[in-house]
Amino acid sequence: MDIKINPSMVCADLSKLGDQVKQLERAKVDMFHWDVMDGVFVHNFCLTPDVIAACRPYSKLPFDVHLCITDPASFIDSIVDVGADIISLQLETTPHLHRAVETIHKKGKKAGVVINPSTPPSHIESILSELQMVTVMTVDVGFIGQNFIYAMLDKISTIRNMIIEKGFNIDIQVDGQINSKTIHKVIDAGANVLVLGKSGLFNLSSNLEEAVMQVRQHIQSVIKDQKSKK
Amino acid sequence: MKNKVKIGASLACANFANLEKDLRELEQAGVDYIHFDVMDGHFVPNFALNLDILRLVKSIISLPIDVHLMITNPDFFIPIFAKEGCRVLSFHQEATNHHQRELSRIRELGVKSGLALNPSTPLQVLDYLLTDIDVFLIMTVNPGFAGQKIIPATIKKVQQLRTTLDREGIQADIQVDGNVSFENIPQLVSAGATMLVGGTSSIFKKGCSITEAIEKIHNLLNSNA
Repeated sequence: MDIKINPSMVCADLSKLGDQVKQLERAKVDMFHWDVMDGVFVHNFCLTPDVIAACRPYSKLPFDVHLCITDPASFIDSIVDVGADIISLQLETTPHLHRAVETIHKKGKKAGVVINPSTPPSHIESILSELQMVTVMTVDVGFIGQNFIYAMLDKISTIRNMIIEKGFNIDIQVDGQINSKTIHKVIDAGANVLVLGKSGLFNLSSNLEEAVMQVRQHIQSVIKDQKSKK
Repeated sequence: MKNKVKIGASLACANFANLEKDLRELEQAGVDYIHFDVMDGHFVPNFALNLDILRLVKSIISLPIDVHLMITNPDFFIPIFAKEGCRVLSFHQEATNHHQRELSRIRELGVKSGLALNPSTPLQVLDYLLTDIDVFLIMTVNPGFAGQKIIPATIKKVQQLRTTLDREGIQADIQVDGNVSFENIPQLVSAGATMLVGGTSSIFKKGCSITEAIEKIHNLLNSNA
C-alpha cells in the first residue's frame, strides 16, 4: 500500500501559505490537511474556509479538511464550496453520520470519519462501507506538540483488519505526533496516510523540499524493513 | 469631546495566501490598528482567525491589535487572548451574562476592554456598564460574513450612544464594524464613530490596492473634519 504524506497546514508558515503550498506540491506531497476548530469541541481555533479558499488556486492536489467542531454536518456545504476534496467528520459530534456522509458524496467528494483516542474502533463498523478514509487521532485533538498515545497502534491494526476482512479499499490516516519516532509503528500497524506537523515535517528543514525528501527516505526504509521481516 | 478617528483593517479580509505582504502594506500605508476577528461556528456561522495568526501578526508588524471575539464562550478565551497580547479585547454582550466581571478581568490583564453589540441589541444593555468599557463596538451588520450591506438603524444607534457618552462626560471610543465603506464612512464618523473597521468594502476592496484605499479613507476623514 502506498504511504501518503499529508502536511498539516496549520504548522506551515502562515505568513505565506500560498508559497508553502506550492513548495510542498513541488516536493511531491500527496495532499494537504486543513484543520477547522470551533473553540467549543476543542478549546482552540485553527484554519478557516477563507484560508482554504485563498490557498486553493496554488495546488491541484487533494485538500483534506478535518472538521474538529461540534456540528460538522452543518458546515459541509461551505467546506465543499471552498474546494475541499476529502471531508472528515468528527465521529463524536456527528450523530447522523450516514446522512452527513451521503451529503458529502452527493457533492461528489470523498468522506472521512475521525475518531478520538478514546473512541473504540467498533464505533465505525456500521459506517465503514461508506467511507473513503478513517482518521485515527493519535493524540487528543486540538493542540500541537502533545504526546503520542501508543494504545492507538492496536486500534489502527484492528481497523486495518476490519477493512481487509470486508475487502474494502479505505485509507487509514493517522494524526498527532507522527514523526520519525512513530512513523514505523503506525505503518506497521496498518496506517497509510500520515498527517505531518511541526515535528514530523516542518521542523526538519527550513527547505520544505528537503524536509519532504527526508520523510520519503524514512518511509522507504520502514517499508524495506517491513518486507525483510516478512 | 471625541478621540481622533482611527482606521483599522479587518484582517480576516486579507489575502491568506500571502498574509505577510498584506500586513506590511497595511503598516506602510498607515492604518492605525489591526482588527482581529475570532469566530467559533456557534455564535456566528463561520470561522475566522486564531492564536497562531495573532502571534504571527505580532512577529511581522508592530501595529496595535484589537481582538473581537465572536464566540459563545468568551469567559474561557478572554485570559488566553489577553495574555497573548492585544491592545483592545472585545466580546459580545449577547454571549455572556457576566459583563462587569469579564470587562474588569480584561482591564486587570492590562488590555482595553471592549463590548460588542449586535445590530438588534438595544443600547439600554449598556446603562450599567458605561464606565466599564473602553471601546464600544457597534456592529453595523450581523457578524459572521464579509460583504453585507449596512443596517441603517445602526448609524442612529452610534449617534445615540455618542450623545449618551457626551452627556455622561465619558470620552470612550465607538467602533463600527460591517460595511464601513468609502460611502458610509462620512456619516459613521459624523454620527460619532472614532474607530473604523475597514474590510471588503474599503481597505480590501477589489480593484483598489490597500495603499490606495487607505489614502482614500484619510482624504475622506480630512474633508470631514
